[in-house]
Amino acid sequence: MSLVDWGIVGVYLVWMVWDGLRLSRNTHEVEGYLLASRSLPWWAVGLSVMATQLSAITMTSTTGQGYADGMRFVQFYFGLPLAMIVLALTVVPFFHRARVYTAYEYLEGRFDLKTRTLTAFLFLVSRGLSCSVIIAAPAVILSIVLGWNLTLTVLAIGLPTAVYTMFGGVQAVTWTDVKQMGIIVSGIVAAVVVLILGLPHDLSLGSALHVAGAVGRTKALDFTFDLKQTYTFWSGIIGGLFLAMSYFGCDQSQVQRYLTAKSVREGQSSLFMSAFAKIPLQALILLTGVLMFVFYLFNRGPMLFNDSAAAAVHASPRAAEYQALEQEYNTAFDERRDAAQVLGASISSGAAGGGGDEAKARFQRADAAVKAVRTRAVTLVKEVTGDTRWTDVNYVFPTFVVTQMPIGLVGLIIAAIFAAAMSSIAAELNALATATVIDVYKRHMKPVATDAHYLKVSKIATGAWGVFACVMAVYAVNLGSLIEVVNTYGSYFYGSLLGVFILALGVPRANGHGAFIGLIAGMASVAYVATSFGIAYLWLNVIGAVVVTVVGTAVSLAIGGRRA
Amino acid sequence: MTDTSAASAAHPPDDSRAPRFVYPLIVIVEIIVIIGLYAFGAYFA
Repeated sequence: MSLVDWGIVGVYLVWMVWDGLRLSRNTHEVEGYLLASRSLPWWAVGLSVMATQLSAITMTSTTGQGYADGMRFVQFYFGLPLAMIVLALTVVPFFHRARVYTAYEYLEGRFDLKTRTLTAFLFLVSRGLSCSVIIAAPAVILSIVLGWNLTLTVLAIGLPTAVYTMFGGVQAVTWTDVKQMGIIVSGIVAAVVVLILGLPHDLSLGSALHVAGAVGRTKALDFTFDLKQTYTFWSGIIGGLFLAMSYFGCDQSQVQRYLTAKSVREGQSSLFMSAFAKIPLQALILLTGVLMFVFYLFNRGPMLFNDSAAAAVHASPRAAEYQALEQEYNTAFDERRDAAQVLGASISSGAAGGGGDEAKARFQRADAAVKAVRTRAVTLVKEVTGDTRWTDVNYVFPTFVVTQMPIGLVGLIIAAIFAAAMSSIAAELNALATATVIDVYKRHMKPVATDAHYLKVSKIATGAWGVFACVMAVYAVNLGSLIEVVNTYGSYFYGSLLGVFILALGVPRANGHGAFIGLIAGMASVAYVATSFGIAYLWLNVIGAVVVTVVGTAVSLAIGGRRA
Repeated sequence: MTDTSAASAAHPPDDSRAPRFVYPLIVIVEIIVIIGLYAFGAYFA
């Protein structure tokens, strides 16, 4: 990386910390620190909601999925706009009227203390761990691609975030999120522009997309109804609806965003921003991956986009096998490039029928040959390293940025990856501290104290979670396709948590015992189904929510009475 | 849910709601986006 790019990343980091600390001057009481005194405008909250969800994993893994698998992943988000409608009509007015600090606090008023404590505990454990994954994922990738020290990379991402979140509270989180969202979108748009300008001179954007489409990269929709297939229209619209309702409605890291809005209307409007913009934004990120695929059709990239893995195989007794595969790859790449050029030319000249079909078939065969060599290389890496989930999907975009982008834009996009990570981490640290102080410390340990005391404890809790996340991140390893790991892990309890809120808001006769037993039954069912049947993880949210609702209602009716 | 907090008494919650036309608009825009994505895949296949 050039000095200019280092400078851009450095200026970005200093700016974020300075900006966050500047906002700490406005924070003198707990409600201001944790909820910005419920005073923020809808557009800032809406951008914060989007920035929180869009982590660095989204930037690296989603572009990688676009490169390897095309646009299909966009279906994952089809349930999100519908979830926003449901949440805007239900939990947003409920939470605002209840004047709660956390979603789990509401459950004590509706059910009982044990339900509140269990849901808060589940949130703290799962988000505490996922926060370290969100730091580790980009740190591992950037350290390999840029040759940085892993521990220092973790600290460069985690430490500034912990500092400005600790001192500035939710005001700092939200207003830095707004700026970070701007940097992220600028970075993605810059990458798309460079990719389009980098197309061969005789290949228009339309022809390039036709070439990508010849091997299925532009196909976004799959209407197959198969519970074991991860991304289909049905899993996206049904499973994605339940996951989005659970994430945006029951996860404190998101609930806290719209609790800071100055009114119910502003809170609802903040969710509408995601409802309108999320799918187009994700489509743009996936399109970046598809354009990278086209770019690497005409420009020779590495056989595997992870130098450290390649080096490990080169240093192993099976180095000769890898070298042979590299030679095969070079031959297969040349054939695919020639086939792509012929296909591109035939598309540009409007050749239909015989000639065009023949060129398409040749390109499809050549692409399958390249894919086969890459698959064998991945298998070799897995066997040598012993990592059965190894993949290089997450390294494609950072490798492209570092090796192909012009000076200045490299720094912008590395800053954008930092911004994506930091915006998610900050929101999670803020939410973890809120649940720790409100649902654990104040409720169980020290119910009566001054506002200044709780403010001090909130800052200490934020700092402690920041240190915990950084330490755990150092120990986290390469987790395969990271976005799926985080989402899969979330699906183990997200749907069940949603079931508890469905009981709270939609079943008047549900009581505390019903909700508590239903929650445990839901999580047990999800664990059983996930480990026994291999059902795609998006469906686990539906199963969890349905089991909790059915069991919770049955137990409540059997026990009788609304309250436990 | 009845709120009894002092903060709430000082700043009563603003209960104004988002306009109702937004809800069907979200559904209409999503249908258009999905049709657009389908058409994108079909056209460039």
